[in-house]
Amino acid sequence: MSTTTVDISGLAQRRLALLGNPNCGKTALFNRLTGSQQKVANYAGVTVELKRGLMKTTAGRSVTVIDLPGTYSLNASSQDEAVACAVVLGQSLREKAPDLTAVVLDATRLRRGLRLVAALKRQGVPMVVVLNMMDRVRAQGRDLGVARLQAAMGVPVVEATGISAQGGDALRHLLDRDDLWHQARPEPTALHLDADALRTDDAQAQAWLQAAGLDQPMQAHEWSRRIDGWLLQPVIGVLVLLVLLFLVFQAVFAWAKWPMGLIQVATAWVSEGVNTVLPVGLLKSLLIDGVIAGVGGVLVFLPQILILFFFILVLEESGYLPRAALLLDRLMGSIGLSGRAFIPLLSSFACAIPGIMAARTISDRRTKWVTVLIAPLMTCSARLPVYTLLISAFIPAKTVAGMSLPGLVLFGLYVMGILSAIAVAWVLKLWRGASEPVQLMMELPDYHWPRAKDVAIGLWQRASIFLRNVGGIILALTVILWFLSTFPQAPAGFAGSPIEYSFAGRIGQGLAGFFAPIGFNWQIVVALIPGLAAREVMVAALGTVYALSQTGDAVGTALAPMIAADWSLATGLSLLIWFVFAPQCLATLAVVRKEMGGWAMPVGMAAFLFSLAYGASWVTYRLALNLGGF
Amino acid sequence: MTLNQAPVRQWQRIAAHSTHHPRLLELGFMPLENVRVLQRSWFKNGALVVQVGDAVFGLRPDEAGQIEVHSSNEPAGGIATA
Repeated sequence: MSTTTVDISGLAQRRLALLGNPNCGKTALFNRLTGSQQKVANYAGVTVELKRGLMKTTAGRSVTVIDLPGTYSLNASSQDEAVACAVVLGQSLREKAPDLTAVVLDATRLRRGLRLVAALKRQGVPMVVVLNMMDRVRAQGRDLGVARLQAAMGVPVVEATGISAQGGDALRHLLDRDDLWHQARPEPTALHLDADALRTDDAQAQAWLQAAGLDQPMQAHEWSRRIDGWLLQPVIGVLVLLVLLFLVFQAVFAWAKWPMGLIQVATAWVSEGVNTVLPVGLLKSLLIDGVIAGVGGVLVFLPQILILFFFILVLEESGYLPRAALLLDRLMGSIGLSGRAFIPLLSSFACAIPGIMAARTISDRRTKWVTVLIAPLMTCSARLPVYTLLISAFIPAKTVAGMSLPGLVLFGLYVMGILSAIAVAWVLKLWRGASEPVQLMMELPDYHWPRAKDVAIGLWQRASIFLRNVGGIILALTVILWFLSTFPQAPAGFAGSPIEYSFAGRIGQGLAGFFAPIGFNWQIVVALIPGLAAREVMVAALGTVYALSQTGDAVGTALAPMIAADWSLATGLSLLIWFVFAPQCLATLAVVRKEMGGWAMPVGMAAFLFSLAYGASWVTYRLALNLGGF
Repeated sequence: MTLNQAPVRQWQRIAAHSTHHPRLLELGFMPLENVRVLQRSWFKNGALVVQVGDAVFGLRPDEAGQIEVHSSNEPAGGIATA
């Protein structure tokens, strides 16, 4: 690995694309070549779209490396594969064609990688071939005879081991050859991707293997098969999966407590500091109620998101994640989804945004559509503070059948989200019919130990993108809320509380009539507006609304007892149910628009979830009023 | 016989005339390639775990049902590097 400091801001002139089959160790190799000098173009769940990084050749030249999503052929069957193929064939409108493509092959599965090489060769794509995972070949005491393979193919070939520090050195050395970078790219010709072309490519791959004397069987990864014998066993496999999921969620909530508390303490400390330094006035109010509350509100969820992503990354790196999807395929299939929907839906428990981005790997358009639609019904961690607040205010801390009632209610809200997602998917399956069969066809890669550095890089990328994308929106909208709830300022002698006079107060009171049938008062409606930025902002907003609408000593009193006294139980329950369904997050809708292309999906989704939330809250409110007489 | 009917763990060979989904070809289910079912679900529509050459895939029964196979006398893995 290069220790030279590379300036990531100045792009290198030479551009190298990494292309290869899924699970060929391409991303590990990319991490080895570029170190931490990487930039991710966008947010993603499991398979990231385009990652760019800078590497140094042996002679010290900078090369921009683009890590493309894995693909089995040039015949793209998912959005991810389409991006990879378009870039490498120079057909992408957004990305300039790379000067050179390094085709990364899993050295233990040469034939299928060579099929891709044969297809690229037919198109005249300038390339070099990298035989990755050479450590596994050497462990079997084999030698692949790189020179013979190179002579057979007529393309430069180097060996690599993505997981070892010096594993990319042969490639670094090769990239110093000037002639490689000046190969003419022929005029694009028609792509032949039919079955005959595939057979021709396969015949070519086998001919190369034969010429290189490599048509001997390679030993199978036998212990992966043995582990699978247990982990894919219908009963034991499902039990292991359930225990694993339980442990992950346990960890997400237990481990995150301490850092979340720390962030809250830090936020309070900064707020206190600003309070003592600045004189009373608009600037102080903007900083404390707008900026610090906004930033703190975002940061507090970072520990949970990081812990969940840590587990997702470890499960993905180890090769277990596709097995989990396979085990759940029948369950998912019965509601018209595929096992592939599992990863997006699991991610959605942290935040719907990575979940929706991860749905990119679902090739079937309809499955993807349904997955994206139900992803926000998974209880994301942003809902937790709202749930916590409402539960502590309205649910007595009693013990029922040996279990705490607040805990049971929280669990029930999670289950309700999952069950309604299943119901929605099932209704859509009945409505749309099961005419188009959903594909599974999912590879189960060999198991291997996740490497700490690769997990750390993945975690860092997700954290920074979360803070950049979501944090920016939340911060901006919190400041807008502050503005709406502060201006216009009430004139001296105004009878009501200042916020009633502000824009927010007026909007809330204007909409109060519409929300009255589900038991919401104007304060709730006012807080729901900034809650559109992100659900957890609702808590801060309620704090703002109540703090601003109180005077003197009442400011700063804890929110829970305040709302417990101010709202009826029916209102509290209605608001809890509202949050199970409401499309209460503009950032999610923005990502849906980007992922699905166009406004039809996010607008339709918002309208659908809004109606669902309104209906469910209405039923809850009426039931609570009639049954409980509250 | 199609792959979803094949007995578990026994090597089969994909028929030369098998006309399955092109995507399966791309994944490596090429004619004359060795395949075997590693694991079968207990449910009728549950996914199968299938090994083709040295790669393992999860396939739905209808996907495996497109692949025409006949039994192979080749020893396990007795094929070119997959």
